[in-house]
Amino acid sequence: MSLVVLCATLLVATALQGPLVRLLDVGVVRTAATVFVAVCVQALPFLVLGTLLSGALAAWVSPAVLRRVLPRRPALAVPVAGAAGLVLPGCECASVPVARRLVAQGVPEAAALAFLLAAPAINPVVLVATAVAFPDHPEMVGARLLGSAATAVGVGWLWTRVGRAEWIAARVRRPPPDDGTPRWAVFAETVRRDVVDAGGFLVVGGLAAAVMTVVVPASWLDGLAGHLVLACAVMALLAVLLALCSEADAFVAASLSTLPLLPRLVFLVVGPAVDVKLVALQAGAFGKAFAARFAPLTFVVAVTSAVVVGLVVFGGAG
Amino acid sequence: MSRDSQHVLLVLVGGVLVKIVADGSYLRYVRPWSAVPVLAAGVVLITVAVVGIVRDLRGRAVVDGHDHGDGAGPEAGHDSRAGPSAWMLVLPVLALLLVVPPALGSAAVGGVGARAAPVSAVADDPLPAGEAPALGLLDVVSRAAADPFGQVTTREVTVTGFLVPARHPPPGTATVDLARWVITCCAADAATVRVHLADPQGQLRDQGPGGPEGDRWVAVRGRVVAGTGTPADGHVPTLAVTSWSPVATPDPVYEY
Repeated sequence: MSLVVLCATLLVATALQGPLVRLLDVGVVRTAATVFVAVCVQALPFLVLGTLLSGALAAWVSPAVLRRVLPRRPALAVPVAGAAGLVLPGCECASVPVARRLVAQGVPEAAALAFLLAAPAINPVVLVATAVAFPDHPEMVGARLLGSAATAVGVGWLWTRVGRAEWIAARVRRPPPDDGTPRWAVFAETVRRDVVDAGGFLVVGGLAAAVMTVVVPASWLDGLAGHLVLACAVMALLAVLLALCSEADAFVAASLSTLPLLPRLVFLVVGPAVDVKLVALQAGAFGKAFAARFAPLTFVVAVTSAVVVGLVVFGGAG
Repeated sequence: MSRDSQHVLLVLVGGVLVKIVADGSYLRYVRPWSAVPVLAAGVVLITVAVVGIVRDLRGRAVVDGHDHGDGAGPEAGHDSRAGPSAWMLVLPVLALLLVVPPALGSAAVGGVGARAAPVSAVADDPLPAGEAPALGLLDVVSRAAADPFGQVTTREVTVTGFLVPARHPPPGTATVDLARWVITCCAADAATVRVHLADPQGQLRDQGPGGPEGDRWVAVRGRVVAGTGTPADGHVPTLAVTSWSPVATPDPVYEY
């Protein structure tokens, strides 16, 4: 049935190609269309990478192995999982399917979530990009590392206290079939399901980010220079709305050179932890009930971490 | 969404990824180094779908041969249907198959382009040899920022960009600026760099910016006015025009 609908959709769209092209060729719509496609094309390879890792975990890494690698106590497992993010050069789209698979394989949720937040924010690629973008302020790299690590571990620890298992959709914990299906087939099945599930939500996130990119007026940034608190609030909000890749956000932050360092650090710490694209992906991976609680929690912790770290590292100069 | 539809959709998504790399239109959205990951992702998606289809065909053959049943397909016991969100994947397929949105151009300046590209202070390396060597617009702006009295103020260079309405033009400059998009990862993080054009001979007097009908790409030869391109003017140097000529859209269309 859905195959018929799919084919009909494609046929109708093809028949309406002319009007469709004209519809998308008007000023801001055209820009939004380009940005939307750009987000999808940029993110899909990373999402596929994440689902390949996820499929490999499902097929060849048994829950017992993961339990042996991670400390038994969740309070200790959280920083260990967070530190694992340091060596995995993935961006946020890659870490969501992996974190979901970790939960499915019995890793404590708090630890998997610490990984989810740490991996896109503090991997070597992102840190090098930050150093390149801020040649005059090398302290930005350390501040970003500290702020994001504090966010990941802080959210993880809070989750061990307040998190409830039922917030995460039950389907996440369903184990892969263990009925003699060959391992490579489990791998292929997991990759397919993860790509289809997460891909749809990635598209939703990309749409939201594209609309925000053309709708958010540039005047938001005017006249922020003298208002530190307001600047931090606006930059935190922009990080959520623009949904930039964590490998690119440092360059955007660097270009806002009229702002002090502190609000720009807030932008860099909040962006990889919570943005519209990520919230969509998380809702797809863990369920809406989870995303509705996790996103605000992460936002508050990330802003707090960034401000505290920024005040310590930059001091009065921030 | 049924398994079969998921397979078809994955082949389509993978197919458009391969297609945009093959015909080069991926450069409208991402940087050249993305060719390999985008192509790899496309191949992986197609492979996964083909593996699924082949397994279904084999599994179905076995079931049919066994009891001639047509109800329970293979994997029926597993939860292999996808939620309605999977339908959203049709959107990028349609966008890339039917529309192929254009690269950002002068029409997008002022929207997302309100931001200025980051100008890192680069060392004032020697300019390429030859008469009026071609330099990137970002390179010119960066050199002016590093040394407002450097070589770009003493030697002529050739810079390519598109014409946009001038923003805060200093006295004596044209009503158009020369601009270029710079991207870091993808077009979602694009930012503009620009130079003002000082044009004492009035060569550009009748030249307007590009509009909805397309961008106006030009190559401008000239030298940077000494002392411009500093934080005081927002890192927008002024280029004193010696001559200019219309050019085709460069490939790649962005600077990096």
